[in-house]
Amino acid sequence: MKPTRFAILLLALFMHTVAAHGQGIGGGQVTGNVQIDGQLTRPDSLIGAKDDPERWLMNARADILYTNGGFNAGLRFEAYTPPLPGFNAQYKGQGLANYFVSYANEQIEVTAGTFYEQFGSGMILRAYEDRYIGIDNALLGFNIHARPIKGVTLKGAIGKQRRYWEYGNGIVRGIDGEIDLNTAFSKLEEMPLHITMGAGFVSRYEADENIASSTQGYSLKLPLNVGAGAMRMNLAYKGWSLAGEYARKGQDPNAMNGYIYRKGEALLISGAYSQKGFSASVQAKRVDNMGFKSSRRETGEMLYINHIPAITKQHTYAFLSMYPYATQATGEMGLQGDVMYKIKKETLLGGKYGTDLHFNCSVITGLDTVALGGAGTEGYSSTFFSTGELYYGDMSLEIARKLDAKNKIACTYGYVVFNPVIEGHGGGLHHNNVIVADYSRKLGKGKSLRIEGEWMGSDSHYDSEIDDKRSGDWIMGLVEYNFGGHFFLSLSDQYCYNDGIGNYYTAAFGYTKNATRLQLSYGKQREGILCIGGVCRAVPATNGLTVSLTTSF
Amino acid sequence: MKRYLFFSLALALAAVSCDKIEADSEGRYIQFSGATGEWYDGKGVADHSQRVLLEKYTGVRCKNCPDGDAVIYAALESYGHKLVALAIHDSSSFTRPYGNDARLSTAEGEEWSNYFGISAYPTAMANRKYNDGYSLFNPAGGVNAEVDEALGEPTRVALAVTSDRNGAAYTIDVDIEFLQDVADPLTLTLLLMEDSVRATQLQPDGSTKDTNYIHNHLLRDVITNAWGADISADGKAGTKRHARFAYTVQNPLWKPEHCKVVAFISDKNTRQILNVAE
Repeated sequence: MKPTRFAILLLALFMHTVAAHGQGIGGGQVTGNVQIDGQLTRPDSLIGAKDDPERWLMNARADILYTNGGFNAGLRFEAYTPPLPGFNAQYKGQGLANYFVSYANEQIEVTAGTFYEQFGSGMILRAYEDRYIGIDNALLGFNIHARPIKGVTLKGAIGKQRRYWEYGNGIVRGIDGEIDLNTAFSKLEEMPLHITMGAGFVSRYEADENIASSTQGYSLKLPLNVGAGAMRMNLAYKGWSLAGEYARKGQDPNAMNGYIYRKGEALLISGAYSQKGFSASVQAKRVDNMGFKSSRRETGEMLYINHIPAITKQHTYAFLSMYPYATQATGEMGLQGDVMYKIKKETLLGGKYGTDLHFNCSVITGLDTVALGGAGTEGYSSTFFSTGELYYGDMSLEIARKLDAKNKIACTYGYVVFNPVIEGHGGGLHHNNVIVADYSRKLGKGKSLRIEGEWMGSDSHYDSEIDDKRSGDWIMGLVEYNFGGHFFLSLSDQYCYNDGIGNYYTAAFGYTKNATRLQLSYGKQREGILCIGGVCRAVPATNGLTVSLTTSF
Repeated sequence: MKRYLFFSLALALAAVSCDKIEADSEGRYIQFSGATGEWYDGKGVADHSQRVLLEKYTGVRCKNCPDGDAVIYAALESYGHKLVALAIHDSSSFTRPYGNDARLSTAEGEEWSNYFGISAYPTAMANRKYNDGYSLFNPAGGVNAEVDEALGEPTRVALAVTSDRNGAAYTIDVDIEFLQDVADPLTLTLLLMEDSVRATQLQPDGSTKDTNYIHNHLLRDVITNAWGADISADGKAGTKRHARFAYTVQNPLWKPEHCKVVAFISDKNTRQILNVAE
């Protein structure tokens, strides 16, 4: 992506601003942040860390935002020289990745340039970026938000999506409206039931092309305009809430679904109740052929127009998150339940400070389908309430208790069943039991100590053909020491002691002051999958020194 | 006002921004995109009818030919789509035009005439029946016996042809489906015939020349070569093949709106016709 005159103009503006006025220009404000992540790699044949000829790999970015009243302008410079392990090699390069100007008043906000947008839960449109996953599907075009009357928000978007350093072929057009009834109608302002409704429609245009069908000599009749629409409603009544969104997509033969013509649909429903010391929620979803990209040939992580929300817990402990669930936009059904309860303090079970219980469970399956044909056909049929093979299931119970003013302990038991088919390879279901003990102690004068121990027992065995180095039984220990108010030092080791491969030790040192954080770590990283919100990327094994610097101004 | 504008925009976007592709009869959303003249796996033929090509060698100076035409018109009424008629003018003296009329002869018609030994006019053949020689007969004396005999043969290969005309340019799609094993090599012949061609015709009294005589199902051109294009197929029962051909009408005096494309499958060795479609 070559910088346009527009971006160069913006850059010149900022350089002038920063050089001449520091924090302001004409009363405006300049803010920004910089993040540099680098890694000095070494090959390690035992864990599969490859030999990167460049040795030094780096992801770096600088966001700068200028704000003056309702006027905003921003840009982002990115450099991948080359990208860190696990990030797509097509990111290699540097330049202005994002740039925009916008103006907003009470009624309207208009953005020209690159922008991010989301309609509802994102099932028909979610342009977003996640630097840790390596996804940036920003739209380059125009974005409008209008608030014509109180309680009503209208959105419009048109543009092409970022694909590494280029833009996809397809043009994305979308429009969305949402009304907050209690705000829009004064008679409903005092009503305890809060109602929000919305609907949106997104269309992708992509030029015709020749894509062979499974019948020799025949190509696909391609829809050039593919539409997707969604309706949603949120209800809230005192401690209760209920939200639902239903989306449909027209015929969209693409590389993800094997170029079938079945229409897509998705339903997401969630209900929750909360009160002091207790909350519970349940979520259910069904997704059928809802992968929606702005290029029908795209198979990677880029050019997604929509996003199917994940309804599995985002685990933070290493072994519980070793097998994360990747959302299957082509088809899945899922159910999640979550309960949090605080046992009252000064009770037998609650102790002096109370005890927190957190229970979560989820199950995800495929769809029950009947194959009807391959590329150029309807593809399959499925029954709405009938489930297919098990993809993923987990259950975890965390008990956390503050022992006294200085000491706190949290213990977690988790169970994960994982089907490797969702990562595209074979093997049977993996069943893992995980136990975590997490102890932290305040030592005073800015010092604290945290000790974490984890164990995972698995029925999986390392298979050299599949080469999944997560297999087997594992133990882990971590010691983290914070001192001086700004420094931390940590040591950790993950060791596969049975049916697997690997001993992954890491030492890390960090310094934080104000908005600046520097971290150095050295050690081995186990290969695996990193998922955020159901969107994942492979994390390859690495061995070496990692440097991370973040700052903002 | 803004609300109405928004909903109008939303409706407009929804209306124009979602294409619907219709499936074919087999539930497929595909279109032929292979090379013209090449054979590919096909979708089969819905109509397994056995049909007959009734070729009539004729000429504008042949006084008995109008009687043959009358019999053939009656047969076409009687047999409907199971009978396809074709009027062939070779280069004999019977085909020499009157006055300024254009000659209706074709090179392929002459080649066929010579091959089949046509010496009298009118002479007809039904599916080029061969039995120690080709079964030639005078259509003026009736065609039903020969047509019935040909129709009585089992359908060994089903055939369908469709043509899409854009001005003078035709795109012709041919589907064949083997219903029985066929060991002999086969060829596909495509031809263009024209109806409602006005040309002077000698009448049965031998002296009257009808200057407004209407010549129908007149052979204008053979799109493939005279003996057809080889069909690439293994000949096993159940085999389905498809081929696309492109053709442009060769003569501006031929009226495309009166033209039809005819396809027939014949045995490459005996020239006997296995099936025909128009």
